[in-house]
Amino acid sequence: MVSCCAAAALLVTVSCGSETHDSGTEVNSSTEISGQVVVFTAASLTDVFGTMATAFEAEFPGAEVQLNLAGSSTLREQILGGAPAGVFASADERNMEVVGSAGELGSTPAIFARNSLQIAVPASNPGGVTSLADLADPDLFVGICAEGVPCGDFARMVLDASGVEASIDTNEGDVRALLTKIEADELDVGIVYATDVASSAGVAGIKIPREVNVEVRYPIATLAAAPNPGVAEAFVAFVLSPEGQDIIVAGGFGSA
Amino acid sequence: MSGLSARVIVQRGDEFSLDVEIQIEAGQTVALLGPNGAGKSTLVGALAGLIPLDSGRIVLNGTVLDDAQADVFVPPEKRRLGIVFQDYLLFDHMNVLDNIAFGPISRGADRSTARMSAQRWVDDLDLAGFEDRKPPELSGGQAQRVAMARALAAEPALLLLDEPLAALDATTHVRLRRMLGEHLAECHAPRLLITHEPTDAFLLADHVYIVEGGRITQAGDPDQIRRHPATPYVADVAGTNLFAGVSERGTIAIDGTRFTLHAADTSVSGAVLVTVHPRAVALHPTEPHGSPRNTWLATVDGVEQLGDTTRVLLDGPIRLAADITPNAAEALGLRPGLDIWAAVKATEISISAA
Amino acid sequence: MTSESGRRSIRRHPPAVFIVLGVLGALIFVVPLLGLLKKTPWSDLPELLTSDIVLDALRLSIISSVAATAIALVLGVPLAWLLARVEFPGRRFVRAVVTLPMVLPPVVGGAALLFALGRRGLVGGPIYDVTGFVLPFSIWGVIIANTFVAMPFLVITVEAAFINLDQRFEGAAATLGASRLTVFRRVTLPMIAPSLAGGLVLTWARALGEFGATATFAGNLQGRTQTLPLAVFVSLESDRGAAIAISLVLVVISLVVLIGLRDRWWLR
Repeated sequence: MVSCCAAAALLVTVSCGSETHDSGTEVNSSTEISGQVVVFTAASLTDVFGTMATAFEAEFPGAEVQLNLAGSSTLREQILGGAPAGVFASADERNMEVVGSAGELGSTPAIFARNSLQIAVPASNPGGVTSLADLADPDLFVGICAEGVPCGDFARMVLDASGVEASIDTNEGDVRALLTKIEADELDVGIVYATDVASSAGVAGIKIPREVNVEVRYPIATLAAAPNPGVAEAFVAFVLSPEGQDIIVAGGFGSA
Repeated sequence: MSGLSARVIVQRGDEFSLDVEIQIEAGQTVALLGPNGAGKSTLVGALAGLIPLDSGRIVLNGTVLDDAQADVFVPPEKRRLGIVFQDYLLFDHMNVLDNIAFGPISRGADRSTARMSAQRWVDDLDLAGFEDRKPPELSGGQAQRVAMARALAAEPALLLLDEPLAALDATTHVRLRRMLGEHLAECHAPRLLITHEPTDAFLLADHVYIVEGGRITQAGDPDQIRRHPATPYVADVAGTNLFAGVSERGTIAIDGTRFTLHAADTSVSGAVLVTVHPRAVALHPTEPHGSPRNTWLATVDGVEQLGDTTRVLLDGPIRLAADITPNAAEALGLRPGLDIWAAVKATEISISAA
Repeated sequence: MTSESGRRSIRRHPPAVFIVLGVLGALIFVVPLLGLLKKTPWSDLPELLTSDIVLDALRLSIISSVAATAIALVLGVPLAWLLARVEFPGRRFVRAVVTLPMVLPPVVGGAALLFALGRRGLVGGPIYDVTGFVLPFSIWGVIIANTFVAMPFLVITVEAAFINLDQRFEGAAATLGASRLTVFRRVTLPMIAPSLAGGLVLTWARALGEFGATATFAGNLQGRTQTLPLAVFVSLESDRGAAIAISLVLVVISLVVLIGLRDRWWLR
């Protein structure tokens, strides 16, 4: 999925580039913050955290942010396996809890972004999809994320809540893979994050009623084994700061 | 119209070209004798249809197989040739019987008919008991006979033998040459033997072409060529004096004469072939004394100049050629009709079982 | 010529540096396997191995890997022959393109297949418009993805064999009256058989382990497109024990086939 992520990242960078954030922040003064921090970032945050890292480095010229991008569960395994992570930004709370109960966290997780699910269809909507009920149509090509992957678990919660017996054709390994197939018009409909619909030019979104939708909360925390705890703390603070939250909102997420 | 008539012109790179013309009548064995690199394999390739002619024409029994000008080209599988290749090229993944049956099956015979005809060749060529062997399990002589059987089973309109004896050790070589001679006589097609061994050519062929550097330098029957070599190469390898005789502990009675030669080699008894290189024959104005075991009085039949060598043809109890230096020839005052003493050391007499 | 039984065998120790480096080399493969075995939930294994997800994936994996190998045989051998024996313009380019899937990340290959053979794809589009047939999200998609990724192994192995084959044997067969197809069937193919067998085993093994292109092109649905590697990937997210059990199935199948075939035909 490297190629499509790069394309999506480009789109978002262009859309956010015009906005400038020069408001003062309350975090520590730049002189004390220097060195590298590795941020384990859920793949769905690829675009916003790219922008976030650039802004952070502009704020603290001595600091350097490295993003390690993967699915939240993969990141969890890497952290538990002893990877030298400074910060963990997860796309769901469950994986954060697992890391926390293993005693690997250096701070209490804080919610920094919110998201919800949307029905995504190709821009031309060839299947004529209007609501969740259409996912039960066996003639349509329907895709969701696989079980165990956050977007897959959330999608199943939404389907259960709405009582739709979806006629699924594929369980994709991650949300980007799912999005690619919808963009390519190979799937008629899928359930993805609202942010994905916002960042993709090739898909159109159909809102899911609030009563059956889920509120996805993104927690962030420093890690106990952070090699450079000062920078890690500064990064988390920056994400939660008004400047950081502006970037989150610009990426289509709900703010903390 | 029967037989082979070929003018073969093939250009190989900038360095080498083959340009030869050969005729073979049905039932005739013709040898093409030449050193390595003379273009012999190229000729085989051209006749087989594996190398197209650049110019010239090949006609077999009235059918044009290749004509560069008229743009006629019959592919190899339609030429009905039997070829015994240099290293036999037997199919290692098939047993002996299937190798021999390959030609008949390829030409449309059903499997059982093909095997029956293959079995006949197995018996003819003394291969019974080896039908189920794979070629890697055969001796050189057996492999050669399988190659021969495979070529003959295809009922060829032309039999090509490309160095059929080259891969064999000396003893097997002699034995198989005799066998080959017998089987050649059974095949009624025109037969072309490609070889660099003068003895093979002279013993097996009715007519010999000498090829050097892609050109035919001499053609004639074996005796003619032996006695009148046209080039230094022919004089060197083809001018070899060759006799048949019967050996008993080194004393050899030459067939058709009452003459005997003495050889240092006493290991072979019975029918033998004797070769004496012309350079090993010394000439003396008076009867020599000392080491040579073989001396006799001969008559000069002819004197020929071949580059740096003078070839003296001798008549007498046996006919043979001697190569001496021009200076020696002058000193001896050689001329036809002169009587002169010939001497050959016993160690220079080579014998092999016939 | 072939009898070596009479030869005296002289025992010599291999150089120590070869032993040390060779053992290290082998450990690279053995240690991960031990890791897998250590984490295997042995007591749950019978239940895990007979679960629907494993049985479905096993069936799909066997069907698709064997079908891909068969397609590679039918299409790959003639392609290898053309590449080895026929001079045509762009031959080097074609040769490079054929081996591209070996270096391309499989996911990229899968995306390329999607853009070419999907229902809106370059070739798949017209096919869908006329027949309504859709390759992705079906077993055909899995087979195509497997073939795409695995066939290069057959083509390069067999092409090398065609190049190295002494063509005089084919010439000899032709002079005996065999047509070109007969020569190919009765001489060429049997002579390259060891390489062909090796190529087929490599192709099959690659197809069996194929994940990225399949997931991207054919999707992932239990019983329809979910092969063993995809089942491993999905289970890794939800049920690690099942993931390891399925991996074990893959390992066992591969080892049995590779050990069985490799020594017999490939290395001879």
